[in-house]
Order: sequence, then C-alpha cells, then structure tokens
Amino acid sequence: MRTIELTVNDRVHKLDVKENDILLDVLRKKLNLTGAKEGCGEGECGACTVIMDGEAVTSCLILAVEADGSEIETIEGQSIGEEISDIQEAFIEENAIQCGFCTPGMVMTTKALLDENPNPSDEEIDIALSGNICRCTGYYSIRDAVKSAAEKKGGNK
Amino acid sequence: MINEFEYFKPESLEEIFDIIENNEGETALLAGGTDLFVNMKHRVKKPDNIIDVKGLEDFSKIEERKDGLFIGGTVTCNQIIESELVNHNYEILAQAALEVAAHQVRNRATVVGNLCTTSPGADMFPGLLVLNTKVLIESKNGNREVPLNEFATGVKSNVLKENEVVRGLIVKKHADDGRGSYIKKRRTRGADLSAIGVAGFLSEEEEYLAFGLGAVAPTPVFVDVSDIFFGEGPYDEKLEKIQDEILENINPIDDVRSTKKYRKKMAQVYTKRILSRLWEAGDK
Repeated sequence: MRTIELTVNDRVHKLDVKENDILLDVLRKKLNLTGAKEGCGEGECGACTVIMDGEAVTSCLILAVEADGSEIETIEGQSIGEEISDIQEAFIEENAIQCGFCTPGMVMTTKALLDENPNPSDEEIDIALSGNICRCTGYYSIRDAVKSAAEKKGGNK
Repeated sequence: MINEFEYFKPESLEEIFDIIENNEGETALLAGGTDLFVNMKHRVKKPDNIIDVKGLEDFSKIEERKDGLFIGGTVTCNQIIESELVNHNYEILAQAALEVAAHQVRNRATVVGNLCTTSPGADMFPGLLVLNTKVLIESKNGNREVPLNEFATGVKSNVLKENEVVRGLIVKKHADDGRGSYIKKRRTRGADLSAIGVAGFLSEEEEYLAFGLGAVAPTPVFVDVSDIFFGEGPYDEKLEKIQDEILENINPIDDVRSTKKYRKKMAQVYTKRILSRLWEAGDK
C-alpha cells in the first residue's frame, strides 16, 4: 500500500492504494466516479478516457501510483448541478448519444481536443476521436457534436 | 486485476541498476505501460518488480545532439507528432507516430517502448530504420550502442539483457535534401495493428535510398537499395530491381490481419508509391 494524492475535478484526495490498482478502478470504486467505463480494458475502446494533466488518456492502462500528484478531470466535473457543459449540450442536441456507454469517454476526448485546438478540422476531429469506439450512435452525429461544441465555445466560426 | 508487484520510481540510472540487482524475481521496466499492462491483464507477463522510468529527467528529452536527434526513453508518440524539431528535419517519424494506436494511447505510449516490445509490425521501426537510428543501451557495466537494424532478434525479442535499460535513441541527421515517407495498411481506422507498413527515405546528395518494412517478417526489415537506384539504367528498370530486392528480404505469413500473398503484393505497391512520391518531391 502507498498513499497518493490526486486532484480530481479540482478536489484534492489523499488515497491509500495498492501498487497494482488501476487508475480507472480507483476513480470508480474509491471515489465513486462511475462515469468513466471499462469497455475493453486494453486501451482500444476509449470508454475509460479521462484527462490527466491536460491530456486525454485511457485510465484502464495507468496505475494509480503512476498518477500520484496529477490533476485529473472526469465527466463528473463537466457539470455543476443541473448545469451541463457546452460539449454535453452539443452531444444531446446533435443526437450523438444512444446507449451512452461511450459518451463520457467521447466527451472527455472532445474536451481535451478543444482545449488544445478550438477550431479543429474534420480530419483533426477524426484523428482525436479515432480511439473512442461507439457501437450504436454512428460517428457522423458525434463529429457534428464536436463541431457544434467548438462553435458554442467560440471557435469554428 | 493484474498481479501484485513492487513499484519503484527511481530518478537515476544508478538507482535503476541497484533495484535490478537487489530485488529477486522478474523485473519489468515501465514507460507508457500501454503494452506492459495489456500483457499483465492477459497474464502473459507477471513481473515481481516494476521500475517506472518516467522519473529520469534525461529520458523525457527530444533534442538535437552533435550526432543526430536524441529521443529519450519516455518520449511519447504524441510528443514526436507535436515536436517542431521532428517535423522540421525528421518528418517521417511524425508520420509514423501518428499511425501508432489511437490518440489517447499515443499520449502514453513511447517510441522506445514501441521498439522494446519489438512487435514485427511496430510502427516506429520502419521510419527509424531508414534514418539509420542507434539504440543507446545502459547497464551497470557501462553503455553500448546498437544499430536499430541489429536490435530485433525475433518476434517480440531483442538484444536487451535483463540488466539493461534503453536511455534513448540517436537518429542520424541526413542531408538537407533527404525526405521520407511511411505508409501503413490496416483494416480499420483507430487502434488496429498494421497489415503491412513501409517506409522509404531518399537523398540524392548522399546517394542514399533505403526502405524499412514492418509486419512482413519475424522482425522489421531494412533494405538499402542505394546501389541499385544510383546505378545505371532507366527509372522503371531500377524500380523493378528494387521491388525484387525487397521481395528477397521479406518473409510474410498469413494471419488475422492479412495474407502472405497480399503482403507481398502490397510491399511492391507501397515501394513503388513511396519511391515515386520521394522522387517527385526532389529537385530534378
């Protein structure tokens, strides 16, 4: 066991974790942040995507001890009470959600993309989101949602 | 759930060697973890000790050194894609890095880790091969440099010994007219491995033309065809000789991603396409 410090959605947590605890499991089981999902568990589906120190990462392939000292953003940090983020709003408006399993990962990858590049081209969107697999919505509405989110945030005009 | 292990995050090479020496059992080095943890989840690897090398400062550098471009042991694929230095002088590496897995994985996966896993289809091999890269290896007994062309010894095996650590790579700086290209064939966009990957690099000033190929033999293949291309004869005849030379050097198999026949055909097609691309981009 060792003690790590994680800043998750701006809140600092001191946590006792085992060396072999995976970051995704710590977020879900210790912090009850169950938005990030385990799909494949191998970094291929993107359902577990969170933002770690500004970068979108697959939290199923990171040890909790590796994340010690880092700042993490999850889907739970994207809304305040009933107030949802521009990206979440765009996903709803563009019907980019069906079962919703992949959506937290999609939204977090989109946030990391738009934080770095407020005016992404279709190709840049496709490259950024190619690691997020959706089995029901279809990708065009998701791309439209990213574009619409960029517009809401002041980019892509 | 992955097995239990001791976790170390040293800040110097000396500390790494002490940890290796003073701890029993299997030790794994951890850079990005995108291969290691998949293998641990599948129980293919069950290390007793994990040494996280992300605490070593020199390992995170990308910089021009007197003998070429240094890429440290923990430099990620996305850092390569975003590096101005790489895009300016070693663009083929940015092209290749963009073909590794998908965006989130590339934020963790390292170039050196891609080489150390030594998959026959590892995307970083072909481009680094044609640029004549050296692998800088450290151990308690000193250091050695291994040409990348001699690094892989078989499917997922390489020359590294248990007590050795890859500090980084030195990529040779080629003449200013040098240019390269990498093409990967895969079944789907996203995190698919390559059915075949071909890199080529041409410099008239150096009279150098070489190809690197992945997923066509147990180890990535390097073929220097400078003698053919800068010898006598018309372009089409030389192209045919180069394609024959490449076919001589590869030995593909049938597997889930492609067939032996298709890989051979695509090796020829991509060789032709890359050569024409590189030739047209030159000052003629």
